[in-house]
Amino acid sequence: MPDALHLDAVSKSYGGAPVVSDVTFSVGAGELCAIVGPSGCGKTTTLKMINRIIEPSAGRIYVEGEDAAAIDPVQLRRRIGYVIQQVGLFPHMSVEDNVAAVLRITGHPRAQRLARAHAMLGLVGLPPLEYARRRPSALSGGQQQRVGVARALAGDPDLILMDEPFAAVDPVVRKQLQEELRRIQAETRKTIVFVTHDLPEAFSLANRIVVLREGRVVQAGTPEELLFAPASPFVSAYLAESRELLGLRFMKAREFARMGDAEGPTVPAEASVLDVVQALARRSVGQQLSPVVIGDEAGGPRWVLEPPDLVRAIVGAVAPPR
Amino acid sequence: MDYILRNPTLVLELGLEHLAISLGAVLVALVLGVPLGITAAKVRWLELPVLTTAGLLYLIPSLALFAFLIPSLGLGTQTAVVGLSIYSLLVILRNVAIGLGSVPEPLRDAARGIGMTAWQRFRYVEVPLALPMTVAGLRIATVMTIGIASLAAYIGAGGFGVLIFRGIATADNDMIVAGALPTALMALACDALLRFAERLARR
Amino acid sequence: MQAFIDFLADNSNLVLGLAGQHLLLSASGTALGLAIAFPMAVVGVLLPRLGQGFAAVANVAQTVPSFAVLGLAIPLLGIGFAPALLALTLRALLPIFLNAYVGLRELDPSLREAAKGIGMTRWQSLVQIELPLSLPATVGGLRTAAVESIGIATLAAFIGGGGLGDLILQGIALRDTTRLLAGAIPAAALAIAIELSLAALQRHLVRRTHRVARAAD
Repeated sequence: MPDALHLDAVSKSYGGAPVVSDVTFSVGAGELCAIVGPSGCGKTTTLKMINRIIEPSAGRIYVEGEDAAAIDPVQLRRRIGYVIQQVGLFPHMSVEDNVAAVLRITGHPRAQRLARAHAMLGLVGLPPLEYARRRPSALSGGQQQRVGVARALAGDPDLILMDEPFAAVDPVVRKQLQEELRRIQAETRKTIVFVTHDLPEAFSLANRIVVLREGRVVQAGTPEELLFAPASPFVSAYLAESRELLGLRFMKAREFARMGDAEGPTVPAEASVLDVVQALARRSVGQQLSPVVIGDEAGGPRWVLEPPDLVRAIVGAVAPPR
Repeated sequence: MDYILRNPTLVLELGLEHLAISLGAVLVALVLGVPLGITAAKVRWLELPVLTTAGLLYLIPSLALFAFLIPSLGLGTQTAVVGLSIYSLLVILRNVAIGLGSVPEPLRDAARGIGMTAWQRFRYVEVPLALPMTVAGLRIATVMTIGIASLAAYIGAGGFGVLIFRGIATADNDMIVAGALPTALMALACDALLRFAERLARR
Repeated sequence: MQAFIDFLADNSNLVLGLAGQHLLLSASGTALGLAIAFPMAVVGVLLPRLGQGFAAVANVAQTVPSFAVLGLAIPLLGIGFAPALLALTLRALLPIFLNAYVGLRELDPSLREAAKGIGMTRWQSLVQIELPLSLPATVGGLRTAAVESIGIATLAAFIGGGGLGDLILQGIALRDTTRLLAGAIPAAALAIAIELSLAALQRHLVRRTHRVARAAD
């Protein structure tokens, strides 16, 4: 079974100045792959080469095993969902017509289009009865982007491209939208390629992260690999500021614990160090740090994380990269 | 074309006449229009009625406007200049008012904040910012006036229009072109000159 | 005032007839201008370098006074309806083209990108998205052209093209104020009526295309 997406030595230059050089990576079906990197690293350009909004100067891109260059670009784009930062909802059309736009150009009859549009609106958390006939201008930024996602899903593409989709939205709404995206992806099993400059966002959503720098792939791997096995000092430094939070979330609490039992707050067996910190924070103020019990069911294996070991775990996450 | 070559002095004379009428009208419009525009911009409740009235008057076809003036002012150069001044006035007034109105509020606040008096604010912030729009208005008014002035020949003013009308009356195409072409060229030349001035005002 | 009303009452056929002629001339010129300018604007957007060329020429041509255009049309077409129509068409063409062209070019680029990204062909993007959204701007150009055409049509009287200008000229020649006003007032009224109705249409279209604004999150 071919990968959902495979980039092979893809490059892009504008008049001799290279923007993307020799980029190679793959994304499996149903994965969410985040492309990250500092400003100007070529991540948006790379994304836009997948649906040929920008044409590659060199290299090949394979979508579900097919060479994208061999497919008519218009047909290619109809098979791929596309969500952009500025949303790009058509202001003169209602929300439902916006979502149904893809289906209109592929010749689906009106009743069918609208039914599908309503289904998609429901999927992204906008009840169709309330939102379908409204105009984009009547919606908040977060709601507009939900419509943008619904529009991308309407044609039932297997692959969806997202270019900093939540960057223009305020942080509280961004968190909500990230949750929604996680839920939608779990439900629909779509393959998503997601460009973002927000590392916590990438780490919380992605199964696979590709780090670009000055147009080249510096590392491509799982979030844990990037955190705990950085391929270069650049990767460590790039993640450094977010390292503490990311590290705590990805480190399993029981790795620092010893077998046993104790009196104290309980967290599930798969809990991360961050979960332990949050469980302790939930207790009332004034209580001393207590050991935390890690385990799921009565009778199953249990571990205890003592305060000194918790501190060691936190320091381990926060320590500067070697 | 031949006509111009055969009668250079006449064409030149008419040209100067045309220029005099046009520039005279524009000058009057400037003298009246700039203060009126400033007033309209500064006195809140005046702005909308003044601009609306100016906008409506502007819609009146030029021949019709001259027609309205003839009963009271008769035929001749003075009627033409009055009519031309009115049109120029409307354009300049509108552009001055809109130019001043488009000065961003934050800038005005900043000026107030650093302790400028209203006059200083006007002179150092509002005038420079409103200047490009005003010069644009001057340009549009001048070009428009040169055009309408060719019409004014019919009601007794001079200028290139004289040749156009005489040419129509005598079915002399050469004469018509001798009047129409210089008018067009004069308009284009003034437009180019004033666009340059506009660019200077923007710096 | 009374004399004016009497005149209108006695000569209603004449005035209406001339007004009709006037409107016919204006409408034909504007319609022809629209028919040429609109495709020009679309071509100008599809072929950007050609569009820039058109725009540069249009901006210069806009400066040439309408009466001069009328005069220059006479050696080509003689006098009467034909040169008036030519002059009118040329003068209507310019603002319609410029407004439509600029209107298309100034659309939010992310709309074009979204349309392209969901797989619309260039034509589909134009017809479903770009043209509907630039309609207010185009109507703005149409408005300028239509109002100006009323004015130019009054000049047609000079070259035997008919219209309300006839009454004005007769009034000047005969020193008959009533006749003069009988031509001037309807002409002015026509211009104002067209301006107000097209302005209302433009406002309506802006509301319908609903510029996207951010409500509070």
